[in-house]
Amino acid sequence: MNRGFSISLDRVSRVFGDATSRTIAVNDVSLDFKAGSFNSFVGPSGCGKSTLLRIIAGLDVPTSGRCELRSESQNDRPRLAYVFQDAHLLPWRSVMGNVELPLQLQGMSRGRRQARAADAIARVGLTDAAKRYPAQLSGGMRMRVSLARALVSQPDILLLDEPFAALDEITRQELDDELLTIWRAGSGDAAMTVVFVTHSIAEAAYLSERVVVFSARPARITLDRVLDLPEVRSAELRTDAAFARESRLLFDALRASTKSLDKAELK
Amino acid sequence: MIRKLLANILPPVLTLLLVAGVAEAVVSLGYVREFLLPKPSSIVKALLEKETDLWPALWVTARSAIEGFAISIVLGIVIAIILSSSKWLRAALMPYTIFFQTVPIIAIAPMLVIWLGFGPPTVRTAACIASIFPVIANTYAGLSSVDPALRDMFKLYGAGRISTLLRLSLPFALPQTLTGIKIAAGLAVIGAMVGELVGSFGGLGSVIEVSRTQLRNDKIFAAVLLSSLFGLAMFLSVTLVARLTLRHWHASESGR
Repeated sequence: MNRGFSISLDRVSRVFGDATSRTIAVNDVSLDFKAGSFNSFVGPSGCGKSTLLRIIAGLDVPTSGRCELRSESQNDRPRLAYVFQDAHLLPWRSVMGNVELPLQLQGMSRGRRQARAADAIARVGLTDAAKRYPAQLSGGMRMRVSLARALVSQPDILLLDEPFAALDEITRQELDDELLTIWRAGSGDAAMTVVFVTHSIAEAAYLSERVVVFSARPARITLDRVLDLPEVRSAELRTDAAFARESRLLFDALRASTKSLDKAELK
Repeated sequence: MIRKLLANILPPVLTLLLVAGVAEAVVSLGYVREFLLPKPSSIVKALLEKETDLWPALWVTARSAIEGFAISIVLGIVIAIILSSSKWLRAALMPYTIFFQTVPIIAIAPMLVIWLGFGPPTVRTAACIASIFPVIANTYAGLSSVDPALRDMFKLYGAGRISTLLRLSLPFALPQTLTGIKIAAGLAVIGAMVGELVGSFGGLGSVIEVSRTQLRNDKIFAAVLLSSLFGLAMFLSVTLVARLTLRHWHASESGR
């Protein structure tokens, strides 16, 4: 039996502001993500995809509609983890201190949480830097710490909001591969459901089983596609014909949605 | 290393010697009379006099200033936490905290004497009132600028109010709090001196008051010199503490 959590959005809308100035950020979005699946949101910037992610995390509530996180086998609330666009580390804590923070906030004893944190740090390849402080790390290393901090609580649902957008291409691809490895290591029994928000079509196509393309604000779904690509991804895939075909499909959908933005601005 | 030290210390020392030398000459040669401007050598003599009351007075002033300073650090941080904890409290209390900055300490010192009597309590309170505002204002600014993403993260992991305050908000505000404390260090000495001039039988402030009636200008200058040096020492100690505390993480101290 699958221990993971599925995500179910039912006609979710989110409106900001009051009667005089209303901004519709998300408009009537319905989606179902299977437990243990890897999904991406792609869309023009400011389209409301981050708002949707925050709603899934429970950091924001929909104006109408429902968001449910369900499991076939567990009645507990799911453990959630959120990775932000920048690393957002606590500068006064070492790498170890940052990674053990989620466990500390949940009240785990010192010995247990340090062992778990050391394990998470090892998974992102930073064991040698565990005692260093964020100010002494490169941007890529900081993002790795951020990833380790998200993984340390062994989340059922991992939400990432343009996590590697500020990094150079090589570092970003490295981190993409690490994320995939970590996700796959947890497949089967301890499957982690992932929602990944990105600007980059190549990144979405490379990582995901399923990609949802959003229109300009208010966010509506313009394409919802399960990618026709091999299950195990590797660097060669990036130059594969199938990969180019899928990217093309996503790109056309994204361009169509961006065009509607231009028209809306002209009005 | 030694060369660098020389380059940093030599110029101000030379300036001091030059100014002191000119003052000494001007007074010795009779251009300015001694009761208007004491000779630097007389000031030094006053400091070195046997059984002078200057050094015990410095000790008294230093104690009151440090105690008032400590109270303003603790109280200032607590007030900043209260101000940042609710919109309603902020609206209700903010105008009165600004009072601490705008009140001329010399004007309320006589009231403090009426309330607290002559002596250290009045001096301590004056030091506290004079120095608390920068602690409140800076800590409050720090507490209100906590990274919203980090607040979200703490919320996501179910951290309570106290836990968020201790593990996120206060450390986040620390660099700004320390800047406020640096400013407060000098102000606490000024506040203590004013308190002593008005309401105390002891300390450098009283020495100045008594020396004035005795026309001992050399002693007045010596007392002023001691209090300024003490204020400087307070400021430098806080700067050192700030540097040691923040050396790992803050751009203003790590030299990056």
